[in-house]
Formats: sequence, structure tokens, C-alpha cells
Amino acid sequence: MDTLLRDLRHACRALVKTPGVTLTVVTTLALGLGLVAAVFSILNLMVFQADAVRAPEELYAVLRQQPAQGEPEPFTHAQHEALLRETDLFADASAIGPTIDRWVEGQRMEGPFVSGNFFRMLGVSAARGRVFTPADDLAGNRVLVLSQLAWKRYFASDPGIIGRAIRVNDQRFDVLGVMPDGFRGLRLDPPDFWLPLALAAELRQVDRDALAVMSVGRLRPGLSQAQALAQLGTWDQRRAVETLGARPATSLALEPNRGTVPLSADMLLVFLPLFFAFGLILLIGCANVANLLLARGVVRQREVGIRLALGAARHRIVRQLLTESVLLALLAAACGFGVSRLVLHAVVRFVTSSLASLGDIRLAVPPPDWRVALFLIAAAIVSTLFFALAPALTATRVELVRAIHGEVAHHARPSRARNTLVALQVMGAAVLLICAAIFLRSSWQAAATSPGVRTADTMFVSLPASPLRGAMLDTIRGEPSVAMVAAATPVAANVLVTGATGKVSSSFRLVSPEYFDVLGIDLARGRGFAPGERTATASVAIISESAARTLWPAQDPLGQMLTLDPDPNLAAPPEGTVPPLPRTSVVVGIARDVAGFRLGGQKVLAGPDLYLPITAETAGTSLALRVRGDPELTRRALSERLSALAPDTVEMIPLRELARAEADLLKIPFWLTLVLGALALFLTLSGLFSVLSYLVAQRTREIGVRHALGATRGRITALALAQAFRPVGIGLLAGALLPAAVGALLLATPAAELIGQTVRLFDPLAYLASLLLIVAACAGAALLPALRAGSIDPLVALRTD
Amino acid sequence: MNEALRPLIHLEDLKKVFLTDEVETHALSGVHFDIRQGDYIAIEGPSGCGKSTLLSILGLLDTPSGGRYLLHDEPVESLDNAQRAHIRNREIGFIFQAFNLIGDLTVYENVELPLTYRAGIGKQERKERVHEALERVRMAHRLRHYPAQLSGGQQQRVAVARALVGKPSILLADEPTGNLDSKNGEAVMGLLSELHDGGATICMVTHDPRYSAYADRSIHMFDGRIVDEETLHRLREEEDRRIAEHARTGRTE
Repeated sequence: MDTLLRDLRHACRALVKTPGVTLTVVTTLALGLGLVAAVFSILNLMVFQADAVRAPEELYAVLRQQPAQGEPEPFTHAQHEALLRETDLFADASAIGPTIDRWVEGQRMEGPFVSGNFFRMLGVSAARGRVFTPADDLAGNRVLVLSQLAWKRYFASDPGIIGRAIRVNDQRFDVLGVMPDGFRGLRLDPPDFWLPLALAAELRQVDRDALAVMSVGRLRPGLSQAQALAQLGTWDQRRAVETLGARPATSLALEPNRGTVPLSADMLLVFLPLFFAFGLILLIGCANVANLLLARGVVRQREVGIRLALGAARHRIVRQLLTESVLLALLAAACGFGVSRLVLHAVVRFVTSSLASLGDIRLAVPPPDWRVALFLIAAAIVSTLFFALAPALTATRVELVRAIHGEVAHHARPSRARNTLVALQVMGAAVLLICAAIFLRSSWQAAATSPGVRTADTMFVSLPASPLRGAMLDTIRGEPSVAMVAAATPVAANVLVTGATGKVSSSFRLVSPEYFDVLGIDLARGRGFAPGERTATASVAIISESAARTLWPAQDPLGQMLTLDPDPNLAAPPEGTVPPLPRTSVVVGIARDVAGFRLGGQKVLAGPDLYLPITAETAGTSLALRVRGDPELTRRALSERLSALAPDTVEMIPLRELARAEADLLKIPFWLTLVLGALALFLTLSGLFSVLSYLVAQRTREIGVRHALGATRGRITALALAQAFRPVGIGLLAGALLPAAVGALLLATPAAELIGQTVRLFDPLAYLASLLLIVAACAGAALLPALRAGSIDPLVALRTD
Repeated sequence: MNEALRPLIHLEDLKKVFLTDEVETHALSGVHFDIRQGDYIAIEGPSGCGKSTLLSILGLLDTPSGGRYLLHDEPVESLDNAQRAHIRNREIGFIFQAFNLIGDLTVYENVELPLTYRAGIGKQERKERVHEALERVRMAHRLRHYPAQLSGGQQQRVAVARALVGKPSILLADEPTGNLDSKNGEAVMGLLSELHDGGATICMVTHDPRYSAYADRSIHMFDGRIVDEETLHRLREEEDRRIAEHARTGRTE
């Protein structure tokens, strides 16, 4: 302990004595540590940071297991009530109902319905006002509780919010309370509000018993998860047999619910690349610091020699040097915490303000906790091994006799180690910048790709299968900002079409005659559907240009008869989406191909091979609208109007949002890798500049000799540049090969098609531009010390010891 | 053998060869001599004769290429680095020409340094021994000063205190007055004499006959070998003649 304290004291003194070095090292490491801590903060929130409720480890949720195909059967409110009535699994349990989104005081907000005992069961109280109670729930009071985030964001932390009546769509609700910061309601992100479950049936116009809920509760004391699961399974089977006369398709699961998600392979697939990208900055920073410490080790060779001469064992001096480095790293970790908070705030601000097309993104900065602090300390210590161990070992590998006489041994100028570090830095910067360029080019490509339909003033509206559909259609047609309305089946179905080339499996859609005008799909030849052909039985069809080429490659398709038969290889499509088959239609028009939208690598709303006519009144069809002015205003207007008829049942999306979504989605990795790449390049350049400056200073005498022997300024400058560019070249090569290798690896996975269509993995321009940028930047950084080498005065240099 | 007559250090046919590329430089070519407890020996000779190399090997800073080196009758010529560091710390006190104090440490910390590398010495004992060593060199009043705040002579006295603090078997001094003016040089030599009078064993390298006179015994070196004084003079005269001849023929050519 005494030795450790002495080492710490000496380390503190050394740090204070060289404030420039200390500042450089701490800043560099703080940046890297802060970035990885920011990623860890997100992982921590999702996986480790339980919600701020009483004893979260006691909480379990009842879920219906996912069947092999399709959606799981919902766990209903009636089942929840029966579970509480017929078993004693839970000491206390609540039901969490569906989440709704609403216009609240002109802002779009979302939140779940929860049973009246939800807050009591979780052991949380409101930070302001009160939470609602079972009595509020039973009475069906129109009350809500706001989250801290919503109170701050949408109500500007209004101190008079409690008891205030606010408009939720067109209905009046009273605000009962505001929940404390950190309470997320057993979710990863806090909702904006919580509503009593009793209102769910009314607002969503569904039977309360049939309402899908999740049961969450505290297991009865002394009951293990396995015992509880066994009891749950027995109860579920018995109840299913009694009520349905059959066993349930899938069993119930009992899972811990602490407001986090389990650390799964999918989660790792997301976080590993993030840690890699952010960790690269830390690695590059470590390389910079290692280079600095290698140079410092040469300066301190005499001190090390004296200590060794006085009988210090080498490991003892290594330990002392590492203590200094650990202290630097811990200082950096403390600053890194601040960096991580800044980064998280910046990322949340960027994502919520710049990527509106990806929907209402509800992000909050993850709160820090002891795990983040522990992670930073651990990362600082691991980083110390990266940046300090090799310099410490090098600094203590001295020739004693020469060191104590102040002579610098040749092997103490570790050029190989320095070059390796520079190459490593260049590689990291190259990897990140190549990735940034690939994502940028892919984003541009996505933005430039035409979906084949109008997007500026059009929107899709999905109507529910409801008796009110006609009234909804009238409401939409009555909205003044809606210029035209067309209908179409929401998804394309497949049939066998017989043309000149035989039977071909083709996709088709039922569309109303206005569909082509609304979406601006041009007819290359022929005509559209006539007003009198608004029926699924009308024997006319419009085919796409590509279908025309496939079905009648050598003939004029117009006027040709085509036969539609069911495709025996496919499951029967949903009722109403396919006209009676077989049928025969005459081709009256040829429409331009519709490429459709791309979203996450998937094609959305791609045009079918053929169109058959229907009327907009056909049940099960979606609507395409042409609007006057801003589609967003139309969406809000329609939302207000339609919610009076059937709230939360109509989905609307402006097509311009769909068109932007893929490009915006790609902007996230682009900006991420660009910012990281720029940081990496900056660190690399500063490292390269320092190393070359140091080498020039070390070789002043040698340069003087070269001058004296007749070398020109240009040759000396070129020599210095060549010395810098050897490791840069190696780094560039490795940096280009690594993403190419990863790309090739990705294309060997099952997700190859998806990835290949979304990201231009091997875009030569992206590679070339990134590498040229790095070469130019490195040349700039190396030029100054190289010119300085060229301008060294041989007379002065030869007098240098 | 009588304990008093047994040598502290026994060197037998000690050799040191430096290899640079394909050139062999024989720095020591078969050196024999003993150092007994309480000896004060001066090693003299011209530059490049091998006296500093010999001192480095004596101090276990360097290893011989051949021959035997017994310290307290134990062979030490082929110990590993850690073992040599252990012996250096306990048995040997160094006084360097350039003082070699660590600039970041105070006088107290510099003197304490060898003790911090020794296990089993508590803080209080270290303190007492540091004070005692500094009292002996009359530098106890400068405990909190840094080396840069001291004169050359004072720095060398602190270096002597550092060499003494571990109570070594022998003090090795490499040109201890080389960086000092004559007044400070005399003062340091006086200090070494005092230490010797107090029982210290000292082996000093010097090329200055004024200071070798302080020692009980002088060893003369030439071309890596120990020679007697008469031979040294003869060899020096031959060397001088050769240089003069070379210079003359060089001019006539």
C-alpha cells in the first residue's frame, strides 16, 4: 500500500509537471472512452437498467408464446381477470393494455391503458399530483397521468399542469399527476401518458373482455419461477379445455419484466458493430497516446536507468509507469463520462429532429448509473494496457550503462512500434470513412430512386374492415384538402396468367379507375379503366410494361385476351382480394412499371404485373389520396374527423415520407460513421504529425550530415515524407481490405440479398474517395515536419548532440 | 581463510568484448584483482582504457564476457537481471560523475529511493536512515529541495547520501569530481575520505592523479589490462611517440 501511494504521488507529480502531455492524453482518451460509454449507456438502459420501481426483480409478465407461423393468440382481459381469480400465482398483478396515439393539445402523443392498480403494484408514486387508482379505473374517469418526459417536452414543465383539463383528440381529460424522472412504466422508453384500462374498451370500441393485455405482477412469496410457470400452464390448459373445448395452440410463458430486454443474439448483432465502430476511436486514441508515451520513454531513459542502477527490479518500474498511465486513464474516464452525456444528448437531438420521416421517434437520453461508471473504469484500465504496457516495457528495456550516462540507445527509438501504431490508426480511419462513404452513396441512391408514383401530394389511407367504412369514405371525400380518392387492394395477389408464352405466375391488384391519375402512373399505351368498368367482374385489364414484355414478347398486348387461374403453388389469398377465378380479361392498357418504395431493404408497394378494376366502395381496399397542399395537414385534418367515427383504426401515411424513409434510414449509419471517421482521421493526423515532428527532431544530426553530403532540400523533404507514408500505405491497404472482407462475409449470409440491395458494399467510388481523402490529409499533416526537415541548417544540425 | 583477509570482491581473468557489426573491441582483457573490506581503491588510466567498463561490471550494471567475479565469495557474473538488481540494491552504492539525481524527486525522495526498492523496510526506518545519511553528508537542511535548486557540489553530496543510505558493502564512484569545480571536487573527495575513515569500502574511477592520491591503493589500466605504474608510464610514452610519428609522417606525405 505504501508503495502504491508513493507511486500515485509520483504519478500525480509527473502529470502536473507536464500539463501539455497530460491534457493531450486525457483529452484523447476521454473522447474514445466517452464514445464507448455512450454506446454502453444505451445497452445498459435496454438490458441492465431495471425500471425505477420497487423490487423490479419480483416482477413477471404472462405472455402467449409465439407460434411457428403467424401472430400469437392474444392474452385477453378476461383471461387476465380469470388468472387472478382462479390462481394465487401473483401477490399483486396489473393489466397493461394496448398503446394508443392521440393528438393531445395539438401534439401527437402515445401511451398505454393500464389497470387502476398499476402504479400501486409497481410501488411508484407521482412526482406531482397523484397516480390513478382502481376507483378511477372502475368509474371510467377521463383522467391521465403524464410521464416526466412528456410533461417537460410538451407542457414546458408547466407547474400548474395538475388538474388541468386537456384535449385528447376531441375529448376532455384531466391530468392527475406527473410521474418521476426515470420511471418508464416497464418499457425501454417512457410513454407520454397512462390512461385507465376501463377507457380502452370505450376509446377503441372493442369489447373489454376481448381486449389484448399483458399481465404483470409480483409472484407470491416463496413461489419460484418454475413452480409458477407449471401452475400457469396447468391453469391455461384447463381453462382452454373448459371454455374452448381444446388445448391452446401455444402455451403461456412467464418472463421476468423489469422494463428491460434480454441480452439476445439479435441485440449483440446490433451492439457489436456499434462497439466496434466507437471502439475504433478509442483504439486510435490509444495508439496516439502510446506513440506519445514511446517518445516520452526515450526522454525518461536516464531516469529509468538510474532507478534500475539503484536496484529497482524492471517490473517495479513498469508498475510505476503503469500507475501513471492508469491515473491518466482514470482522469480521462471521468472526463469521458461528460463526453458520453454530450454525445447522447447530441444523438437524441439529431435523431428526433432530423429523421422525421422514420416516424415519431421517442428517444430520451439514457440516465447514467453505477454500471456506466464501472464500465468506464474497466474500459480505462483495459485501455491502459493498450496504450501503456508496450511503452512501459520499451522504456525499461534500456542499456543500463549508456542510459545512466544519458545516451539514448538505438533500440529505445522504437520505430517499428511507432509505424505499427500509425498504420493501425490509418486503418481505423479508413474503415470508418469507407463505411461513411458507402452509406452516403447508398443513401443518395435510395433518395434518387424513383418509386414510379407521385409522392409530393399523395398519401395512403388504410381503412378498417368495419360497417363504418362507407361513412369514413364519405368523410375523406368531404375533406376539402382531398382532391382525388382512389382505391386498391392493400397487397398484390398472385395468379397464373396465360399469355402468348404460356402460363406465368403474375401479381395483380384490384384498383379503382382513379388509381392511375391519383398516383401519376402513366399509361404507356392504351387507356385506363372507364367509369363503367368499376367492377371486379369487368373483363378488362391493364398490364405493366414488364408484364407486357413477358406475356407477349413478340406481339402487341393491346386487345389480347388473358386468362387468370388460381396459382396452385400458393395459399389461397384473403377473401375479397381476388376476383372470381378463372376469368378472362382483355388488355386495354399498358402502364409504366412501378418500382415501389424501399424500406430496410424490403420493397414496399411495388407495382403489380396487372391491374383489374374495382370501385372504391369495395370492402377491404385501401385508399390512395391526392391532396391539395401539405399532406401532413390533410393527415391531421382527417385524423381529427375520422377519430370521431372510429378512433385509432385508420392509418395514414404521406407517400413522401415513404419515399424518404430508406434514405433517412441510411443517414443514421452515414452520420455515425462520418462523425466517427472524421474523429478518427483527426486523431490519426495529429498522431502522424507528432510522430514525424518527433522523428525529425531526433534525426536532426543525421539530416545535417545528409545536407553536408550534398542532399538537396527537396530530397530531404521527400525522404521524410516517404518515411511517413510507409505506415500510411500499409494502414490504407488494411483499411480497404477490412470492409471489403466484411462485405464479402455479409454477402455469404442469408441476409445477403437484403444487404446487397440496401447498401452498395463494394462501391469503388466510395473506396477511392475515402482513400484519396486520407492520403491528402496525411500528406498535409506530414508536409510541415517534412519541410522543416528540409530546411534544417546543417551547421546547427551538426553541432546538435 | 581468516574472515578479515577474505576479499569482498575477487576478479579473475575478467574479460569484456563489445561486438559492433563485425568488429570486436576488447574493453577488458583478463583483469585480476581483489578488493577487501575497508579498501579505498582508485582505478586510473587514460580515456578508453576500460576503467569505466570495469566499474560497470563491478557494479553489476554490465556483465563480463568471460572470467569470474566473486562478491562475498559468491559468483555473480552470470546472474539474471532481477538477481543483479537485488544485489545492486543491497551491496552496492553508486556515485556517478553526473550525479544522476532524479529531477522530479526531492532530496529526501532521491535518497530514499534505494530503500523503496527493498522489501521489509518500514516508512519510519526509511525516514531515520535517510536523515542519518543526509546528516553524514551535511545536507539534512535541504530535504525538501529539488536537485535543480542545489549547486553541483551539493547534488554530489546528496548522491553520496543516496549511495550510503542502503548501507552497501562497497561504494563505487565513477569520476565523482568530473562535473565539479576544484573546490567542490576537493570537498567531495574529503567526504569520501571521511566515509572511508568510518569503515566504508570505496572503489573510485578517476583520471586525475590529484584525486587518486586520496585512495590507499591505485590500480592502473591500459588497453583493458591492469598494469603497474612503471609499465603504465612506459606504455603512455610509447603511445605518445607513436602518435607524434604518425602526425609527422602524415604531414610529409
